[in-house]
This record gives sequence, structure tokens and C-alpha cells, in this order.
Amino acid sequence: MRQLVRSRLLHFIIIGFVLYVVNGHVERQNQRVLTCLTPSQRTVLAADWAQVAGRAPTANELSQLVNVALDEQMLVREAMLQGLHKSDQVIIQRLLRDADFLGIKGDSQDKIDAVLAMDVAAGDEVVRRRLIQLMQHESALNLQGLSPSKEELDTIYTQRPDLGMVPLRLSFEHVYFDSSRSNARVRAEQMLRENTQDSRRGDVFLDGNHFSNLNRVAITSKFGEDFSLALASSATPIGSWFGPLQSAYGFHLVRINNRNKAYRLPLNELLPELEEIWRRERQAQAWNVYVEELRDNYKVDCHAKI
Amino acid sequence: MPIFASLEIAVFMRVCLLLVGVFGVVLAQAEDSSSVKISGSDLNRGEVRQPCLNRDPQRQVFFGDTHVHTKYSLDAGTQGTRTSPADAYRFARGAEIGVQPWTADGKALRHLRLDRPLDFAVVTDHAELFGEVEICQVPSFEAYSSWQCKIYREAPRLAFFLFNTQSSRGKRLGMCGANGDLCRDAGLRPWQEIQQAAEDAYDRSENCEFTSFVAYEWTGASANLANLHRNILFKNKQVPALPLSFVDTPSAPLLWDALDRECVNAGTGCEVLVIPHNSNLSDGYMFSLARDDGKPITVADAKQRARLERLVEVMQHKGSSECYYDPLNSADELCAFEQLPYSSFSDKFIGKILPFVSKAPQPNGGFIREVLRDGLEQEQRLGVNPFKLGFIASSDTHIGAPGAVAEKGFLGHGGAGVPVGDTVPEGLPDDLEFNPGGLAAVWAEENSRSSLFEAMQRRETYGTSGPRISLRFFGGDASLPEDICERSDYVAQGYDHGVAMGGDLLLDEDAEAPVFTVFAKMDAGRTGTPLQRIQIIKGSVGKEGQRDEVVIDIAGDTDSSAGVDLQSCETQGSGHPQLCGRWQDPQFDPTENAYYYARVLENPTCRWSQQICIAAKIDCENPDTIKPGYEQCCSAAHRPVIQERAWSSPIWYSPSEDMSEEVTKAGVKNENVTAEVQP
Repeated sequence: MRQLVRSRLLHFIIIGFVLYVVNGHVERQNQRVLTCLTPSQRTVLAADWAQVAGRAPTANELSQLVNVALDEQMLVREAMLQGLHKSDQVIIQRLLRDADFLGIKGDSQDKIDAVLAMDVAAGDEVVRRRLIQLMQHESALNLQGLSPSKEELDTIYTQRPDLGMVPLRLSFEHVYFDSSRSNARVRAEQMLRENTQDSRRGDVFLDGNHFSNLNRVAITSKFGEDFSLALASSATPIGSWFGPLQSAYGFHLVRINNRNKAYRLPLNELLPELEEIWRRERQAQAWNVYVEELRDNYKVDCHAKI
Repeated sequence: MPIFASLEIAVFMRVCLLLVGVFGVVLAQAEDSSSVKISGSDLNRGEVRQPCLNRDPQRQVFFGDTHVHTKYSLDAGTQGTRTSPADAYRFARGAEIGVQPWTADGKALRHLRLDRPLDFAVVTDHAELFGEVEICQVPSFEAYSSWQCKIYREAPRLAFFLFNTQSSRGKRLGMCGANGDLCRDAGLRPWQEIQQAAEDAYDRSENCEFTSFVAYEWTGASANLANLHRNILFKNKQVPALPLSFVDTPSAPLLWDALDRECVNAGTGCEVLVIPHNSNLSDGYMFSLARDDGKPITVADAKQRARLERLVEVMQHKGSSECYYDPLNSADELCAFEQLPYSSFSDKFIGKILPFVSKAPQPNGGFIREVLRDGLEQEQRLGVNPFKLGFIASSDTHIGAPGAVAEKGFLGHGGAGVPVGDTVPEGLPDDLEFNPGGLAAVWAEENSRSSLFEAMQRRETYGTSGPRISLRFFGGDASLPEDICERSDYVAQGYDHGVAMGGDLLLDEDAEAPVFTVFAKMDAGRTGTPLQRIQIIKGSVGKEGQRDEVVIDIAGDTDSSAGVDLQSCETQGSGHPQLCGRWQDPQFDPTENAYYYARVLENPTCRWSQQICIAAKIDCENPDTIKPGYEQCCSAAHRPVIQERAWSSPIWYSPSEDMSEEVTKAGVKNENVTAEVQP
């Protein structure tokens, strides 16, 4: 054993191996360099943004755009350093197609090697997007197995009062009096007075005379806002006719048959949704942290301070 | 040794992922087989869901958007769209979404919310998930100037050949590697996420508030790059393992064959509808009468096509496909509505550089009114009408905003938008010839997948250019009561004595001319613009092949004085909250094949572009007021006024001796027809 420890061959192998590892690390580190954007590239970014937003970006916004572009460059480089482009089927298929376009002959491996040597991959929009997608996926996977605490879900439930709101719902019927015919209001009032409500004695309403379980928005869509508001705020007991209510179409005698009050679903019925929100927030956080760390690993720092 | 450690972890992770993926697939298959069993029962019309509280056997209208792109469409993603399928469904249900541009820390600089939710929505991202075809067609793409795209554009036939060689089929873009590597990416695959988002958004509770469908867009182009795009919509969650893209199936017939193979006949309970759109940009290729080998279509081809393609988008963001308009010769001036000034996308881009080379729209360029007549002609030839197309409209939004179809505050669907905050953007947010798009309206018993899908299959649908106009259309014989418009049981009478939109007229041999009735109700929800008139459009092909067309006003004001003040966008003049008409065809010839559809018009209002031009205080008389970005406000091509409208699906008539098998399949009165044909 002692002989083995003293063996020069072993020392040689160990030193060689350490050198190999260190060299690989250094080489990789040397490739972690960003190319800063040229003024013309910045101009293109600004012009593209202006086309979308309808105005030129402010200095701050332009800095943000530059940072996004640099991050993309960095992420693509990092993904390729990690060799993600060599194992993903989508990218492989894409590279094979690129090779076909270029008329490169040989088997699949020859084609991919040739295309990679020409540095086609990083210039291909599809490959770039896919690489970033793969990185994001790996980042998201690190969170797998984690689950939110009860307190965290409680917080989201409290902070987002819109979640799980079930609005007021009404089931009702009506008799319609078309205001383009004479005396619509008078006819409606008379029918109410005589208590002879019957939709067949009113005018024709295309959407019909009976409505079931509609919320305010749906009622507004069918009758207009004035009618919808008047109906929802009516204090007339269920089962009694009242009106006439005015709508965009004329006058209506109305009877509410059922009223389901608005309520909020309890937390335990919203668990999947709340967990999804929590997960998305966590993933975004983890991704931002990863990108931050990666920026520190890259040599030239062109990122603008914001 | 941090590197070793990280390498080992990476390898370990991969192995785990692979296992998780394989396990996931096994689980998914197990789940699939169980749902097939359930769907085979009669429970809730083959669906696993609670019965709807709101169910009407006489059907109610539901409004939705069947054409929505999210970040998974490359042409949306590269424009900064970050809306996911789940976000798009949330938006459709009334939630707010962020709209580009985005800050570096992921905050949207603007936001958008619908003024009222939709009843249903369908996310249809390009199946060519990484956009090989599209990327080369739109100059705003970064890769537009790549060498691949140069080949694609400069030698389209060569590129087409390259794209479509036998070796490229199935494998080329097949996201699933032949060796199963794909499973590793299970969580990544947009197709999975699209399915999950549709499932999560679907309201299976008794409230039946919202329906989603699993779908995608097949992004095909002809050899000359004319548009052949089709949306593929599945009835339930039994869908093919991968979407069949243009790369997998590089022609429409190949697509239909593959859908039959991998969906209809797969034995999984999969059902599918194919909805072509933008035939206005197809240069006539979308409804081709030739097979891939150049020979005329056969009876089998026509039957397959009629079975799968039952609806067409009559209008959307990129213009109306209803009918061709020629300012000098067209009798129907209303065909000018949102007509694009070119016949294909390549012509749009050529037009920007060489306006005189760009090809204007052509009479036979794929406009539906003509296509429907082609269908009648084919029916005379083959006994089957391959183009029996019902109508819907949709948005084709590329910012993941289904139903954002209002003229007011139009965002631009191609990735631009009006911020909700204080800063008003400069210039028009979209190309002048584009518009906010329309909505799909469906007459169904309830808001559930099976009910909506069956309504789409029987074509009881219509399209609107945005407003939620209600529209009923029935056709029958003289037994449709004279006073039907006055009867409170209008709908019951319509179904009893006729067929609804999308159906086939069933007339006795000795019957008089057919009778039609249309009832429309204005949209009270938003602007409350009253209706102006109802028209019926009849297209026919005679025994000798002579083609004819008539447009008849059947209710409302033909000489309406209603208008709009172009300086304030205030509307003027009166209109109708509801309109109804009954009409008997005085020129009916029982030996001709014919179709009839209804068109309902609102009073005129300001187009989106005019609203923005006015807000920017542009005065075309005064050049100083024309700020950069607003030049188009004063261009000759600017149409400041529009008449919003709705188009019903047609009702068809075929001479009785030609009563084909197809009629019995699609008609509303299925059993009756079968009984008559097979006494």
C-alpha cells in the first residue's frame, strides 16, 4: 500500500487528472464571456420596442431591454456549455433539418457535427428559445417535491380576494313590452295591476322569457346594465311579480324564482389553484436567483445598472 | 470536486426524469382508458361532469373565440407575448392579463381585461410549435433573414420540396424522438400544457360557466405560400398524442387522413372538427377542387371533407372572407367590409416594397360565397357537397387575449397595444387593414363541451364582427306561420316547421317555394348600437351550371338615414332593438341547388382606427396635426366607418332526386329524412 502511495505513476495520474479537471474548469470559465451590445444592436432593440409600444423607450426601459438581450445571450451560452443541445430531441431534429438545407451529407451524427462546427445552433431562433426553455425547466424541476405550508396558502388566499368568488345568481322570468310599439309602459303597468302576467300576452323577446342561474354580467349582456342593476338590487320577495323595469329593448314585468347569493369558496376548495400560484411565484423567484448568480459567473459585465 | 458532483447530479436527474416520464405516460394511458369507458356511457352526454342548472332544450346562444394564440405560437412569442394557455383562459373568464412590452424583472407595462367574459374559448397555438414555416414569412422575426428563410422565400418550390420530402414526414418535427427520449420532456411539452390548461379552465360544475376545448392550428401553406391554415378542435380530452402539424402532414388531404387515422378511427373516443380560416388569403387554394395528385376530387374525398370541415371563419383579425368586393362591378356593396387589399401574405409584404406587383384580391380567391357555390356544383357532379360550411368568426389574437374584439380601445392583436395607463401610445397599434376580429356564436342546450361541439357539428352557429347580436334563422315550407314574428313561441314554431341555420331544407315534391324567417336582437351589453336591417343572401347553381346570387332586405330600414359623426363618433338616427322578418323566395326553382344565409347589420359606427385618429386630434385638412404614426388616418385606404354585423350559417336546398346520403347525415330532422329516403 505504502509503495502504491509512493508510486510515481500514481502521482503522475493524480496530477494529470487534477490538471485535466482544472483545465476543463478554466476553459469553461474562459468561455463564460458576454459580448456587449454594439450601438447599432441597441438601436435595433429600441426600434423594435417602439414598434410594439408605439413610443420610444425611456433610458431606463432601454437599459432593461439591453439586460434582457444580454441575459438571453448568457443563457444560451450556458446551456450549450452544459451540452443541453446535444441531448434534446427537438434541437437535434432542428439541427438535422438545418443540415439538410445546407446540403450536408452523411449520417445524423456527421450532419449534427458539421452544423455545430458552423455555429448554426446559437444563431437559430428556434434552438435558442428551446435552450432557454430547457434551462427554465431544469430550474423548475429543482422545486419539485417542495410544497407550500398552510400559512403560505393562507396568505395567498387573503391577498387575492378575487380568487374563488362566486357571484350572485338569479333565476327569473319576465313579460316583455316592446317600446317600439305604442304604450309599452302603460300596457306593462296595466298587466301588473290586473295581475294577469303571462309571457304569451307580452311581446316576443328573442332570448325567451325564462332565465336560469344567470350572474350579473350575463344578465347585462342580454338586457343591458340598467335592467341588470335594477333586477339585482330589487328587494321584492322571491315569487312576486314586480316592475316594469326598463331595458335597452323596452319594459319588463319580472318575477325572481331563485336567488343564489354571492359567496367565496373556502380555502380548501381552492387548494390546487393556490398551490399553482405559489409554485409559479417560487419558480419565478428561483429563476431570477439563478440568472443573478449566472451573471456573476460571466466575465464581462455589460449589464446596465437600473 | 464540484464539477463531478454536478455532473453526477445531472445524470441522476436525467435518469429520474426518464423514469418519471415513463411512469407519467403509463399513468396517462391508464387514465385515458378509464375515461374512455366512462365516455362510452350515456351519463351526461358522454361527459364526466355535473348536469348544467342552466339548460334549455330550445337552445341558447353562447359566445366564444375559437382562435387564440399564446406564447407557444412562435409568431406570438417573438413579439413578446408571454400569456400562457392558462392565462388566456383566465382572461376569457374575465381576469386581467399583462400585455407586452415587459420589464427585465418580468412586469408587463400594460394590462388588459374584457368588459364581459366569454362563454367559451379555444387556444389554438401553431402545431409547428417551433414555427419552421411561419418564421420565414413574417419579417418581424429575428430569423426572417436567416439563410434558411432566404431559401424558403427565394426558392419556395425548392423549400417546399425540402419541407415535404418523404423523409421529412413524421420524423422531422416529430417532437417525440423515435427512442422515447421525449418522455424526459413530458413536463415541457406545450401540447401537454395546452391540454392541461383546457382541462383546468373547463367548468364541470353545475354552473356551467365556461367551456374550453383542446385544439391547435395546422399552419399549412400551398406551394406559392398561399394560406391554408386550419384550426383543429377536439370534442373532449381524447386527443392524438401529438398535434399533426404541417410538417407531419404537408397537405390538407394528408391532414384529414391523419386525423381519421389518429383520432376518428383510433377507437379512443376522439372526435374532431377542422375549421379553415383566412380563405381570403388563400389565393383560391384553401378550397381546392383537386387532390394532391392533381386529379379532381372523388366522392370519397368530398365525403371526408364534408365530414371533417363543417365550419369556416367568415371573419377575423385579418379581414372578412365572406364575399369578394370589386368597387366597379359588385352589386353587394357590403362585401367591402374589412376586405384586405391583397390576396395572400406574400403579396402583403411585396406590397410594402413594390405596391404594383402585389396581387389584389381576386373573385375566385377563396371568398366563401363563391366557395359555397363551388360546393353546390360539386354536389351536382358527385352527389356530395364537399363545402357545406357553417359560419363562425373569431379573433386570431396573438397576444393571448380571446374575445378582445371591441373597436373601442383596440390593442392590435399582433403584439401591439394601447396601454391602460396614462401614457397613450403614438400611432395606430396595428396595421390599418386589420381589425379587432369577431366572435363565434353557438346555439346549444347548455354550456358544455358536448353540447357546444354537437351544435358546431350541425352548424347551428353564426359569426359576428364583435357585438353579441342574437340571431335565429329558420327555413321551411309555407307551414311556417305567417305571424311567426308576432308569436311568443317563435323558436318552437321555427324548429317545428323548419330547420335551423346549418341544416338542409326538406321540401315535399309538390311544395311551394321555401319560407325563411330571421329574428335578431341587438347587443345591449356594450354600446347598445341598434340594428339597421336583416338581409338574406341566396346563392344558386342551375342545372346548366349557371351561377346566381341575390341579396334581399327582409326587415328593417333599407334607406336608413342612420349615420355617425366622424368628428365625435356620436351615432345618429334611429334603429331597432329587435328585428324579425319572414320571407318566401319568389324566384325559387326546384331544379336548382341553392344556399341561403342571413346577414344582420347594425347602424354605422366609428371603426377602431377612426376612434384612435380622433383621440389623437388628427385633422386631415391640417397637415400640422398629423403626428408620426398617424399618417394612415388620412390615407385613401382608411375606412373610418364600419357596420358591425352577424352572419348566420347557411341553410341548403338540393333538388329532391339528388337527395344524397350526406343530407340525411347532417339534417336536423335526421330520422324523418331517413324514413323518407328509405321507405
